[in-house]
This record gives sequence, structure tokens and C-alpha cells, in this order.
Amino acid sequence: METNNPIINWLPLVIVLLPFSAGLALYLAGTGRPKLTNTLVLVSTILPLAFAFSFYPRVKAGLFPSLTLDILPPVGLSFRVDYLGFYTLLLFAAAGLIVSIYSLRYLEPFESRRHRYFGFQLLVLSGCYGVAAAGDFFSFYLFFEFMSIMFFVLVAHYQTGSAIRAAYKFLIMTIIAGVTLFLAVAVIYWETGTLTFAETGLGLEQSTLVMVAFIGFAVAFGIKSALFPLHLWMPDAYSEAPLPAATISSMIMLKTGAYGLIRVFGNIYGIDYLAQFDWAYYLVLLGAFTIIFGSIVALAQEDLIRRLAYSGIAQVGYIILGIAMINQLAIIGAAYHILAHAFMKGTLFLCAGIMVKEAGSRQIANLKGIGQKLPVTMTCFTIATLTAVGMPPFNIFISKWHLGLGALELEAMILVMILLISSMLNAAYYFPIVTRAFLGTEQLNSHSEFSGLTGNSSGHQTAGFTSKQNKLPLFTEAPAMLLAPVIVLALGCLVFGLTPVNLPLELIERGIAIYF
Amino acid sequence: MFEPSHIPATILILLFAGAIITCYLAHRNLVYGETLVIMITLAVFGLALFLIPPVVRGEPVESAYSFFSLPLAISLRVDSLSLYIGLLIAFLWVLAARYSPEYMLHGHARPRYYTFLLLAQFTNLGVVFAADLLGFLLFFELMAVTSYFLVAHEEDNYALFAGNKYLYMSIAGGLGLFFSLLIVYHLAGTTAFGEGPLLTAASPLATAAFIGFLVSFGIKAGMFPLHVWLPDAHPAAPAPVSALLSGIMIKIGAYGLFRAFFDIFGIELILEMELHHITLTLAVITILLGSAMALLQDDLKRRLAYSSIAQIGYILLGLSLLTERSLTGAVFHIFTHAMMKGCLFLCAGAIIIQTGKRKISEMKGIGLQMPSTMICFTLATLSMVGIPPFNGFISKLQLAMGALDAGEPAYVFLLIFSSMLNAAYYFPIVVTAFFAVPKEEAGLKMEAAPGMTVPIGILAALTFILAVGPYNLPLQLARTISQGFMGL
Repeated sequence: METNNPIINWLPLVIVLLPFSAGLALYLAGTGRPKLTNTLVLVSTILPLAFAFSFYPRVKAGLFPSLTLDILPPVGLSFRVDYLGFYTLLLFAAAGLIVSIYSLRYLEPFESRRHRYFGFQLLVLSGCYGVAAAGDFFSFYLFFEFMSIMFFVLVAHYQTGSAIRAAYKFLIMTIIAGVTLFLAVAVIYWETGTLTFAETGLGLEQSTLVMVAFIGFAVAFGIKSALFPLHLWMPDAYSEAPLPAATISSMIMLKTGAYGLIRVFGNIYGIDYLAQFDWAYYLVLLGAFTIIFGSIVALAQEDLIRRLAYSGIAQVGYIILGIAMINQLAIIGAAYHILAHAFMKGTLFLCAGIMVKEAGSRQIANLKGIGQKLPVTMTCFTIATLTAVGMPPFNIFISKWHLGLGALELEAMILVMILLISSMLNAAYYFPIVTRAFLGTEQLNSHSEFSGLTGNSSGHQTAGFTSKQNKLPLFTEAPAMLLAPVIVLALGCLVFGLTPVNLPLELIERGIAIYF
Repeated sequence: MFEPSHIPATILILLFAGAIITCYLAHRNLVYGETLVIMITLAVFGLALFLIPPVVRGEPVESAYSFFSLPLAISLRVDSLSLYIGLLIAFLWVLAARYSPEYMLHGHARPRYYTFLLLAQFTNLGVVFAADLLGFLLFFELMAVTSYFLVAHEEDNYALFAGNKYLYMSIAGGLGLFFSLLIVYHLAGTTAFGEGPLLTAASPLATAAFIGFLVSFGIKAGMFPLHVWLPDAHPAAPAPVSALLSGIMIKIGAYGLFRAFFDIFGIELILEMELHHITLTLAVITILLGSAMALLQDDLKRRLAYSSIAQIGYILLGLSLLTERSLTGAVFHIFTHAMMKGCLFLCAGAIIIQTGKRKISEMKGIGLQMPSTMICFTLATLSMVGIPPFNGFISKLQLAMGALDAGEPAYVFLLIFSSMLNAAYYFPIVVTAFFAVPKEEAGLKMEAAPGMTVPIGILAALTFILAVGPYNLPLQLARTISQGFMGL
């Protein structure tokens, strides 16, 4: 049902337009004005989150804000925030705000091209919000494309040779994704004459074209969410892009692919329609293979960022696998994994940013003993790694629980095994970083980047950790603007399972129940 | 007086909050931190005592509320088995906490050590107080992580190696349990303990669940062939942690198997699927292998570690024989072994701290140098061999009777043979310590500080004192528990 409050109905458009206009303004007028940059970035990320929150009472009551604009004929641009859309929008807006705060401190205040970076980051975010708030597949397509193309500038931000190469790789694959998605959308429109998100599918006829469209969707979203063998752009883009941009990609943009796939399964084709064919079966295979492949390759990476990137490939494999199992529990697990992975990987990426700045190196071997210099950061990192392994009460346990039950419902014990093996591999590539950071090193008293950065040598007296036995300061910590986002994300890994009611899970359960 | 139903949650909250306060306080002032840890463990033990009356009356203490909104809510429940293990945990932790300040006197990173000591107790008690398999898994996984920091505490290469081995095997064990949990929930729709067997029919999925349980709890318990972490982790850890690892944490594996046998599968289903044959075979191999390997070790703590493997085999043997008296023996042996092996490890720690000697061949005359420690050591070894009136005798007697009840006299011979092996690897230590050199050549007296010898003495006394006295609470509880298992 739609709300009939006009202000509420217009808010989705505002949510998209705010970062869009702020981004444009920044890019055009932000040169050498760091204060303006900070203000614009904060305002245009805080407000969308607040507006998204304001939908909560209505969405909970089953009233969805929706708006159709008679522009862009013949289909028109429309917004509709239903359970799933609200869940995704809220997650994206929260992630966007957290990463933006972090990136304001992460990119040095007088770095050249800073305004360009933030301008395009806001443009990307506006595309992401649009994807989550889109009310039909045409709007979805527009925002999806806009977001993907804008991200190109972020990848190329440092303008080194390798960054440009990574950006080209990204651009080419993005264009392939765009073309195949366009083809798929066109076929669906031609077949049915509409692209709205129907509750149980559009009632498609059986035809080869429809199957081709399915492949188109799979390829487009597979590229976006780095499904094997379409993941090629991702490790390079992540290691060349500025770290906050990689974080945005990992927390938000990968998830737009997964979100799109859920929409395609539920709203375009319909679960009953897909259950007749074994198309999704191939996606299950690819998802399962992606999980194992990503985990094993991650194990071999010596570069922290690349290890995180490959681990992301494996984690998104969970989501694809869950969706493709076409079973209520598994899709709930997959949708919950969108949130679980966003918080987990966001924490890891932002921690990695601090660690890399402190150690001056991205090689994992050089991160030994860093837990003594950055205890808070590394504690958050540890929480995120425990999440990655799927320990209760952390988020990924909840998604794995649903995925596992879904697999058992299909009597596919092998998929449960794959989840377990992947968890074990997660432990194998994350825990050594943690254990070496905390244990087995002498007290390291070398120069700390952040003691210089904060310009505050009395920062050594932090908290109660200064030991009586040796007078040397035990640790320094990153500045609060880097640390606070990390702590918030790490708490996010934990808090949803501990609260008496798991709000995101409730939203997902309602949203997915509609499809069945 | 508040309701007993609040006690389990109070204990857990006290421990968790205590750990956080300790982390802060111990960095500021170590002595306050140490005192706080001892006070908290004492308070926990005191609170746990209040759980005895209702449970002995036969009313499990159920938590009045449930926690979290993981896929399911988690609640707490204390029945006689939980109480039995819970009391052991609370008691042994008090002694370990009292023993630690002197043992760790020159150690490093002591604030971390005390924080994780409390966190480890929190997770251990959480495991036994959990009312369902989901809560069990929650604390079981956290236990692996928290105890890792205790095992690897020394941070030398050996400790890191042993710690990693322990960590990764524990994680694998946790995943095995997760696997079984999924299947149990899928088949039964609930994972709560104490509502009768959850699984009712034999099926391939049920077998898979059993394998998951066996792997997970087998790793934790140190059952052959999953024992490989144990001989490294026990010697590498600081002595109080070794005592807790061997005295308590490997028993958590046994506790899990008890739950799996009687709360998940139920005795009829176990017999129908003949699952006890698997554990029986593994138990026999575990006993023989542990004893044989213990004979070969020269490092004292390593010998104790292999001996723990053998002793866990007894518990598994009693469990797999599935008669009332064998189960009584198995449950009682958890107490027996916790006391005597706790005592032995604390003695070994005292020796290492006072003399720096780890090898048995170097311990000539040590009984003359550290008489109180070595007398306690001797008492514990007597219990280990199973000489009356020590506890070890009672549990072996029960196990032997249980084997006869099951119509399997062969296992009585196994018990006797294994006791002889026990004697063969423990008595030479005592003989070396007291009689290897004449009194004049023994060197200076270097008895450990009272803070260490008193916990050792208490444990040594508990290896026989309850067996001599008129009321043997652990044995009574063990009887109640095994009768509950058998549905009597």
C-alpha cells in the first residue's frame, strides 16, 4: 500500500537529489575549499539517513512511500520504498554516512583533487540511494548505470598508470554490464509492456528471449557483485582506488548487484516461474564455486587490501548462492548477508586504512605487532574477523544460519559443507593477521604516524592502558574521525543479534514473504 | 533472598563485567586487579552454591527470561549435570586465580592474562548453563577464542605454534557443532535441552549430525584422532591455564557428548543406530594411546597432557557402555580427574617456577627440595592409579561395574591394564623426586610460596577427602545424573 502523505512521498526523490546536487556543486566549485567540502559532504549524507529513518513507522505499518514522475517517457521515473527497499536504503544511507566521515579525515585536507573525489563520491552515493529507492526496473537501471559510471572517476583518482589501467578495466566491464542489463530490461519491457516491481513477478511467457534476458541479468549483476568469472575488475580496482572508495564499493555497490538479483527473481520473474526451470541451478554452481575460489585466492594474497578484495568475492558468493537456491530461508539469509557483509567488510576496510597508514605498508608481513600501537582499531578488526568466520552472536552467523537451513531444505548437504569450508578458510586468512598483530612481538616503540598527525604528544596518556611497569607509552591511536566510524561499524557487526528484536531481519522476512 | 532463577544470569554478567573492570584496573594497579579476580571467582563460586538446593530437590533452575534475538532467543537452564560441571568450573577457577599471582610474578602482559582468565570462565560457565544447543554453540565458540589468548600467553614460538593449532582446531570444532545444530534444528524445529530426545528417527541426516557432534566435541575433549592439539597446548600454556584446560575445558567436550547422547539423540536412538560402538572404539584407542605416549615423554607437563588424553578415554568409555553404573563412573571421573590433574599441573607449575626444571630426568631430589608440593603430587598420582580410598578408585570401580553390567568384562581388563600404565609413568616421577639422591646432596629447600602450595594442597586433599567422608556430594550428583540419563 502507498502512503498518502505528499511530503513523505517526495522524500525518496530528495534523498537522491541531495547528494546529487551537492556532488555536482562540489565538483564545480569546491577547489581549495576544504571547509565547504566537509559541510556539503556531511549535510548531504546525514540528511538522507535521517529522511530514510523517517519512513520507518509507515513502512512498518505496510505503507510504502512512492512517487511517479512523468519524465523520461515512455516509462517514467518512479520511486517506491517497500520493505526490502527500505532495508537496503537504510543500510546504504548509513554506510554512506559512515564512510564519508571516515574519508573526510582519510584524504589529507590539502590534497589536490580532493573536491573532485568528494564530488564524485556523492554522485556515486546518490546513484546507490536511487537504486535502493527505485520503484520500477527502468529507474533501477538508470541509477545503477549512473552509479557505475561515476565510480570510474574514484578508481582513477590517484591518476597513476596502474590506477588508470584498473579504472579502464573497471569501465570496460561496467559497460558490458550496462549493455547486457539494457538488453535484459528491453526484452522484459517488450514482452510485458511494463517494468514495475510486481509482487509475484510480471507473469512472463516461456520463451528463449526471456531466458536470454535472464542471462543478461545474471551477467550484469554478476559483474557488479564480482561473481566468478566476472570478478576480474575488482581486486585491481580495490587496490588502486582510494581506500574509502573501495569501501563504498564493497559495502554498497557490490550489494546493488545482489539487491538487483533479488528484485529480478522476486519482482520480475517471480519465484514460481523460476522454480520451473533449472536456470538458477547454474547460478548456485557459480556461487558455490565463487565462494571457494575467492577464499582460496584470498589465502594466497600477501597484500592486505587484495586479501580483503578476494574475501569480498567469496562473501558475495554467499549472497548469490542464497538467492539462487530459490527458497524462502535461503533468500532471507542472502538478503541478511547484504547487511552482515557490509558491516563486516566495512570494518575490515576502514581498519585496514588505519593500519596501512600506521605501518606505511600494505604487506601483511609488515603488520606484525600493530595491535600494540593500535589496540582499538585491532580490536574492531578482530570483531570483524570473528564475524567473518560466522561465530554467534555476530551478524554473519545469522545469515549462515538461514543459508544453511535453506540448503538443508533443498537436501543439499554439499552446500552446507561449502559454507563450513569457507568459514574455515576465512579463519585461515584472517586470524593470522590478528594473532600476529597482538602476540609474539616485542614492545614496538618505533615512530607512529598518528602521534605526528595529531600533533599531540600527550595523547600517549590515553585511557588506562599505560602500564606502571614500563614508563614508555604503550600505544597511540588513530584520530577520532577515523576511529569513530570503525567503532560504529564494529558494533554493527554485533548489535543486531543482541537486541531483543532483530529489526533488519524482521524487515527482510516480511519483504521476502511477499514473494512466496 | 532473590530467586535461584536469576543466579545463572547474575553469574555470567558478573564475570563479563568483572573481566572488563579487571582489564581497566589491572593496567592501573596490578595488585588490585589480582585481588578483584580472586574476589569475583569466589563470588561466582558462592553464587553457584545457592543453585545446589533446588537442583538436588530435582527442579532444574530455569532462567526467567531469554536473551538476544539471534535466529532464536537464548536462555539459561541449570539441571544436575550443568550444576555438577558448573560447580567444578567455579571451584577450580578460584584456585587457579589464587595460584596465578605468585606463578605469574615475573610474567609479562599480566593484565591481559587476568582479563582473559575471567572471560574464559564466563564462556565455560555459559556453555554449561546454556539451555539449548544454540546458546551452547555461542559460548563454545567464544571459549575457543578466549582460551586461545591464555594458551598462547607466553608468546614464544612454541606457545604461538601450540596456540594456533588449538585455535584452528577449535574453530573447526565450532563449525562441526554449527553443522549439527543446523541439522538438529532442521529435523526437530527446536534445540532446547531437557525436553526429551530431540531426534526421533534414524536418518542419514541424523548420522551426519552425530558425526558433527563427534568431531566437534572430540576435538575439544582430546579424543583420538582429534587429540593432536592437546599435547602441545597443555605444556605451552601457563600452569594455571594447563590445570584449567585439562581439568575443565576438555571436559566441556565430554559434557557436550553427554548432551548429544541423552538430550539430542536419546538412548533408544543411540542403541538403534549403534552409535555407541563408534565412541567405544575411539575410547579404547584413546586410553591406550594416551597412556602409551605418556610413558615416552620426558617433559613433565607433556606427560601430564598425554595422561589427560587417556583419562578422557575413561569418560568416553563410561559414556559408551551406556549402563547406569558406567555413566556414574564417567560423570564422577570428571570430578576425579579435575581434582587430580589440576593438582598435578599446579605442582608442575610450582616446580617450573621454583627450579626452572621441566624434564623429569632433571628432577632428582626435588621432593626433598619442595616437600609439600611433591607430597601433594604423590597423593594425586595415587588417585590417578586408582588406589583406594582415593577418588580414582571410586570412578574406576564404577566404570568396572558398569562394564560388567554391560556384559563386557574385557573392559575391566582394559581398566586394570591402563591403571598399571598409569603407575608406570607416574610412580617413577615420585621415586626420582624423593629417592634418587641422598638427602645431603639434594640442595637447598626451595618450597613454593603459600599462594601456590595452598591451592595445590586443597586439590590434593580433595582427591580423597570426599571419598573418606560420610557424604560424597559429587558421587551423589553423578548418581542422580546417570539415573536421569537412563530414565530412572
